[in-house]
Amino acid sequence: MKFIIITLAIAVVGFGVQLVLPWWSLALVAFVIGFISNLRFMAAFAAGLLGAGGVWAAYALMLNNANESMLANKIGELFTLPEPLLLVVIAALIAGILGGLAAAGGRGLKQMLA
Amino acid sequence: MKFIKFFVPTLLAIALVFALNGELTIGDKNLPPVAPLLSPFTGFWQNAESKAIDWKTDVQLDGLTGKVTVQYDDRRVPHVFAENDEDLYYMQGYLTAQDRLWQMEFITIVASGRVSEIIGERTLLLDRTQRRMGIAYAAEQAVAKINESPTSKMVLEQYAAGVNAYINTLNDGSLPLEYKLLNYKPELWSPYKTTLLLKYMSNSLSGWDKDFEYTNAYNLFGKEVVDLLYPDRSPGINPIIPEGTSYDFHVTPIDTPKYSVANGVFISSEYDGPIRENLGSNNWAVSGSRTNTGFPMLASDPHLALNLPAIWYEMQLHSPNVNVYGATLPGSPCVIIGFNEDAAWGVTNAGMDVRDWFVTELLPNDKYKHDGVEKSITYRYDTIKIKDGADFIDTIRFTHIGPVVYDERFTQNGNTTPLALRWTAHDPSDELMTFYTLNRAATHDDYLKALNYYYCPGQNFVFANHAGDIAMRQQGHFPKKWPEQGRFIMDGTTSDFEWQGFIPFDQNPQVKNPPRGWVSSANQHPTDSTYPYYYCGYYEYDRSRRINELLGVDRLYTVEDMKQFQNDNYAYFAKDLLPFLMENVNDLNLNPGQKEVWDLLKNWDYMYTADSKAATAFEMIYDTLMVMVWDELQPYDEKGLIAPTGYTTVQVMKTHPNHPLMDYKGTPEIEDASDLLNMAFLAGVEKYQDWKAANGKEPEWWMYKNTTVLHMARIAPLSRPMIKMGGNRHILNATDGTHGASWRMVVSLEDEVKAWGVYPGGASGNPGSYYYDAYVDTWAAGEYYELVFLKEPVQDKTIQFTQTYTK
Repeated sequence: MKFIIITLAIAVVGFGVQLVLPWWSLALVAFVIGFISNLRFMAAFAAGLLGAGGVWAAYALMLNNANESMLANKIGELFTLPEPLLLVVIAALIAGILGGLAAAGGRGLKQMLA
Repeated sequence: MKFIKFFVPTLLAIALVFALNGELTIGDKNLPPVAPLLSPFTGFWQNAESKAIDWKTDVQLDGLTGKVTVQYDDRRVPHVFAENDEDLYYMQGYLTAQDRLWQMEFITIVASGRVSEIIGERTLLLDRTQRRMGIAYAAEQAVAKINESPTSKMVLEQYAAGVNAYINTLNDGSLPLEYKLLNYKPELWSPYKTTLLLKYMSNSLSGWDKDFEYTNAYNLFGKEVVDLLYPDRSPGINPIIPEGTSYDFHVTPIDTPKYSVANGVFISSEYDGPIRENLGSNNWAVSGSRTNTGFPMLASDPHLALNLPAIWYEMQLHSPNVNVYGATLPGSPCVIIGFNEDAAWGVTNAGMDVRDWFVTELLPNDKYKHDGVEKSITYRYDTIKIKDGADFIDTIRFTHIGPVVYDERFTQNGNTTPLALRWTAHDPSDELMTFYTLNRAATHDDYLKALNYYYCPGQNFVFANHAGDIAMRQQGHFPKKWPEQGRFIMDGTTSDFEWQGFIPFDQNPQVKNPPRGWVSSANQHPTDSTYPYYYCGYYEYDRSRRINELLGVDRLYTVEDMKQFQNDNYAYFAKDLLPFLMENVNDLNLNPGQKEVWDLLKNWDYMYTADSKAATAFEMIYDTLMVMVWDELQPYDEKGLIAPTGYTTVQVMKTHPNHPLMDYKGTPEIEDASDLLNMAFLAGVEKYQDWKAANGKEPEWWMYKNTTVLHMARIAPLSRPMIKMGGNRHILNATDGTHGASWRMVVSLEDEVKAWGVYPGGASGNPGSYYYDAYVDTWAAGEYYELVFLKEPVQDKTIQFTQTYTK
């Protein structure tokens, strides 16, 4: 339960913050939430991975659906991807790995200070 | 060990941010910053629009003085209703930027020689060329001139303010896609940028000549060959101003110096291929006595490079002082080609040579010699910023003639001869007033008044109005020339060879309500040989013959006819060449592959329809023929020569079949024209059968031609390749692989003016919008949209969305 709440917190706060701040603000959000959470280190990483990766994947898919994948097809071709939806996967991996590392780092700081 | 759990992931996260926030180089490819581009919050996903318009209905803009209503029709064309002209042009700027900001700015970046700032060192030559040709200098001259006119100044400043109001709304997410892909940001707009755009158009339409190539040919082969290969006038001219029109005005004599041509080999930095026969605009107007409605009809289809975002942006602009609809140029206020409630107008390029080169004698101590006197050089220092590189500072000399484009700093393949450029685009002028006035024109007098503001690039302005007048005038600031002045590079050390003034505007070629009942232009010679002034330029022979044949029938014309003529695929060029070729092919023992092509050609009606196989075969033979006939001139770029036009080639082969140039050096034998036709036929057939074998299908014309609407930054996935359509250069439907009708418009000037139009693009410049290329298929099919021309805002099914803008 705690894990789900932390994951959702990273996603929701991350969404709000990124509406105004650059993309890497996602890392700050994950770091701070990772810091205040009391998940175990690997759980914090997983929460960051899912929360941050999930919010990018979900929002990208939503925009892509409204556009009927028209632009993703062109950008996918530009980067010679075999399948445009790989763009969602890559985006989610970038955000997820970053979010995971940041959340784990935040958690690690708390543990170090404790 | 606890610190590891903090430092390792945190440092990795920081490293990841830095790696993905900057540009990456993989192999020879530069990737834009990956994470900002892929983020759904700031990246390309934000440019992925839904088909339905979901914008705000009420928008507040500080720069407005009153209320403006904007209605978007079913094709998303904006119809702007403002309470005054200040607000009207402000909104034109705002709405154009909303749809087309990237392209309008990119063109000004190209025009001012700043591409290297975005791309890097590899575009330095392009940038230097633009700057040394004086495009930015010309734009500065134009701004100074425009500032003398309160009206132009107001229009330009309001437009710029509107563009900037839009730019100021942008954030990382709403930035147009190309800025994200190329990783830079827009600058604020200004009247200067509009003049840069107009000078960019001047450069595309008048910024070229054949002076270098003709000079090189003269020095290599002599005058007789130059006159044969590059004649000023060939038999078969069907001029814009009907033959027999009298030119009964007084002409002051022009002093003619003794004949002289510069020595040396001159190779232009602008060299862009051996043949440039792809321009092809048409326009015409038919008098009401010859239409089924009893009112004039006007048609205009300017042909340009096919680009996405499209070069044109459709708009209706309405205020208490004006109600006009048509094609606007993103970056410039007013409608450029269009119609209002009373009149319509359109343009084709004049092609008259308004650019000449002079060998300059530079002296030490910042001087140059002219008429035996030492005169001072003016310097212009241009700093070109280069992405990931050191600034490049170019020094450009100016004499009283103009910029010294070529010198020891900018050579022509090592030739350091200083060449100064005289070009009318450098002269102060205010073409914007032409369009401002045409937008409001009703009478023929209004039209003339509008044209008198117009200097460069020379255009054939067609006009028709509800009152029943039709007219054509070739308008521009055209130098008076002695015979053959400016065909070759001239001596710039004496004023003898310089221009001696300009043709008065009322003596420019023009006609109003000619007895034949129509006017037309298709980039051909403006006049027959009785016109009292000498001129030279680039002229076409085939489309003029066709359009005047189509319009010369004794019957009543309809709007459908006008549309059909714009899409007409008949090739006079093929009719001139093919029978001549077939009577010269003397090998009657054709193998099956050769026989197949022979039969195709024998049964061909000279129509370049999309599915024609004969057109493909003919083009393959023709391409081979051109290589064989003019092999002595090749390689063109090394010798600084140019192939004669196809029209001249056919004429020379017919009139001089045994000319030494006919020989093909690739064989030990001496060939004549007939031999070449045989060889070209056989080689063309081989090409044809090879294509078939390689592609496993019949080579229909559209497949071989590959008409592509290319993204302006040449980004392939944002382009539209392989469009199935007919046409070619020298055909009314002058659509080849890269050029074509950039806007087709037909206007019927009835009591309620009706109009039809289409262009190869869409209202939006955003590749993520449904409207990016929404009109391309309609355009390719030769179909039209009936244009929605409103008197006031309406609520009906033609309108899909309405916005209100207030202060």
